[in-house]
Amino acid sequence: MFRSKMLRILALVLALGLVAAACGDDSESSDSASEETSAPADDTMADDTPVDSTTICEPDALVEAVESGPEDGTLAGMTDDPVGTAASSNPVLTTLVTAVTEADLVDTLNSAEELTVFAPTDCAFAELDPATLEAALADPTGLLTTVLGFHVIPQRLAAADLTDGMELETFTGETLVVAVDGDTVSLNDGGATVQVADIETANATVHLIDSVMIPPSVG
Amino acid sequence: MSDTESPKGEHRALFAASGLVAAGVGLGLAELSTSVNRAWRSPVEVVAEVVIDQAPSSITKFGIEVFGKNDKLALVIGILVTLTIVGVVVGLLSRRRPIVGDVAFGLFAVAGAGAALQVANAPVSAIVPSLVAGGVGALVLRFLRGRIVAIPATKPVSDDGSADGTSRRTFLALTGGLVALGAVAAAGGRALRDRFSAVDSRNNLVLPAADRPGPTVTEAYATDVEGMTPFTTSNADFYRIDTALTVPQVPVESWELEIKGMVDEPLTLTFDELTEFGLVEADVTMTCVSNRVGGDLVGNARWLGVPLQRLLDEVGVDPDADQLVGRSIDGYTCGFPVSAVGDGRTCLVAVGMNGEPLPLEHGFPARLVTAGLYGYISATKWLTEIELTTFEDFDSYWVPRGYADRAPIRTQCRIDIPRTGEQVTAGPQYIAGVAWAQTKGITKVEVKVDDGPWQEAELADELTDETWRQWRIEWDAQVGSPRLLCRATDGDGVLMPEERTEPLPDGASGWQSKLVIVQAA
Repeated sequence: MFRSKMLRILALVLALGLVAAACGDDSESSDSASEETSAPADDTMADDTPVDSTTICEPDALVEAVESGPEDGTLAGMTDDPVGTAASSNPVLTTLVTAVTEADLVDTLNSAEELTVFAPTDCAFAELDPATLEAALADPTGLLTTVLGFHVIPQRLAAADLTDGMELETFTGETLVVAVDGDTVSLNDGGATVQVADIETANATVHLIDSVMIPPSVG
Repeated sequence: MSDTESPKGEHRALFAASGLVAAGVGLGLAELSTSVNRAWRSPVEVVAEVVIDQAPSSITKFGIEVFGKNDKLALVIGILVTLTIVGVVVGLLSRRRPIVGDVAFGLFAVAGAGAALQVANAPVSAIVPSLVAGGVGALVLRFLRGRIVAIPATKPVSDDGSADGTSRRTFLALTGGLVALGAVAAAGGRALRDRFSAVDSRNNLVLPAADRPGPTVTEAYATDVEGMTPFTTSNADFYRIDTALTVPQVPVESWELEIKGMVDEPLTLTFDELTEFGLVEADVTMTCVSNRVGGDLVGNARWLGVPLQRLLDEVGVDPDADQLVGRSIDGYTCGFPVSAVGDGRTCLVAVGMNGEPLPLEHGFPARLVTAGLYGYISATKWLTEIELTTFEDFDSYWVPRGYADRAPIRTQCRIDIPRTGEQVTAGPQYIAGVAWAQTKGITKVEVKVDDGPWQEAELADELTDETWRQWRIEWDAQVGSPRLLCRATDGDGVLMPEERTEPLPDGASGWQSKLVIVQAA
């Protein structure tokens, strides 16, 4: 019994190998096959899982949501795209992408050579005081840019590069202080904690964080 | 302890190992065999290439996305892991039926041979490494099986436990020796294959001079701003985007270019015969369709080559042929309108780049270079064939994968200085960058700072309308976080559209916007 079943499995494996080697050119060019997705997050939201991404807050749940979302936005799927484009496919960064687009920062993020982005998840944005979010979105080139710029460091840093007490100069020229306690990395005097670290894109290392950080200059 | 559980039943692990070892030795000797003939390739490599080539685009895209730049390596590793697993399974199955091992390795040989024959220009003898892998694998498995069967049972308890212990140890030493043999053979094969490398061929090649040299590139074409991108991109810095699993090694001595298809008289040329048509120099800025707004998949070089028109005149092109297809040694194809060859733009079979033979990764010994069209559609590297055909009859490589079959380069403007993320101090300085609209040229570049007016930038001299044009504008930077925008107007007076398009299907466009943080002096 076992033997013949194994033989059947073996035959199937080999047959698959042959099929892979011999199958004809797949010329059904799929209209939905897109290497890159366009910047407005709304397009990708429509394709995504129906789960409300603002409820995905824990690290494991975040990773699962990302990995089961569109291919372009999976952890490894983002490696080939510059960060602005990569983030636009990620199902737990939809609010961030909207904010970045409103603030007209997509080109800038895409054209930088090496960046670190501390990316607040949709859950993080949902926890932000609504009045603050509204005020920021109403002032895209001012307040919103200042807040978002505080989450970007113009050099590529892995979680392992972050040490306790380290002071990082953000893209907007402010100082972001890092605290490391064992495996936990927190930023801005406990304002935010890194939940999923070291997501690589073509020009940036992205760390998902659980809160939107308010820069000192905004208070 | 039942007798139906024969001695062989005791040694499942050994059988599993023997299957794996047999596969390993088979592959190792196959690698060694590849050193005999340039056209004999590693079975693992050719299977990987065939998988990439024949897999539906959704699967290849999945691979690129999961593994990024290591996608090809990941595929090879995946194939090796699969063979490991299958080797173990085959070893176990051959425990009772040795014929299974023969059949399995036979199938390996057939699959590998089939893949080898799919490689473009492969001779029939290219199946040899796969036959070696299968044949050796089957023989080694039979041999090892014989050794295992000869090991006495460990149950019931034997008073002289050391006897079968010795046999097991002998067997394990034997497999260890075979694994070492396979590894040495594989390493040796790879090392010996280095003699097929084209490095020496390239180093020994002396290109004839151009009978029409290009214009002298002076500083007039570069905008004088510190840290600015050079007007000519060096070979080392030139972007590289292609589908090659490994860089094809094509020595020039045996290289041939075949021109065929809808022509009056097909022609095959050696390298010397090609250069006899006369070489010209042309500066052309190439662009990748995947280049995003503000991206770096663009480069400007001086190319040396034979104008395609001269070759087409020689063979005589059927008036019904509307597509010129360039085929690479690895099967990649580009395809562009035949009409582009005769409309005045630079269209070359290029053999030199910035004063040297084409670097290996940029297409040695010959490639196509066509001004004004994205690389994927017009610039086959490691060129071996030019075929005249029609768009209706033939889709070049990227077309079935969603890209356009006609792809003129979209006008672009890029801010290079200040570099994104660098410290900017308030005060007078320059904003500088490049703009391109190949075959039309750039007549105007405008820059805007935040809500200020569009201001015209100072353009460096134009070398030709097929190269990018550098520009700069004076800027009195104020403390703050301004956004810089740039846009360009081409030689026909057309302003590049503000509307964003994505690289798929025919190139990105849009006015670049760059945030800069200006700090007090």
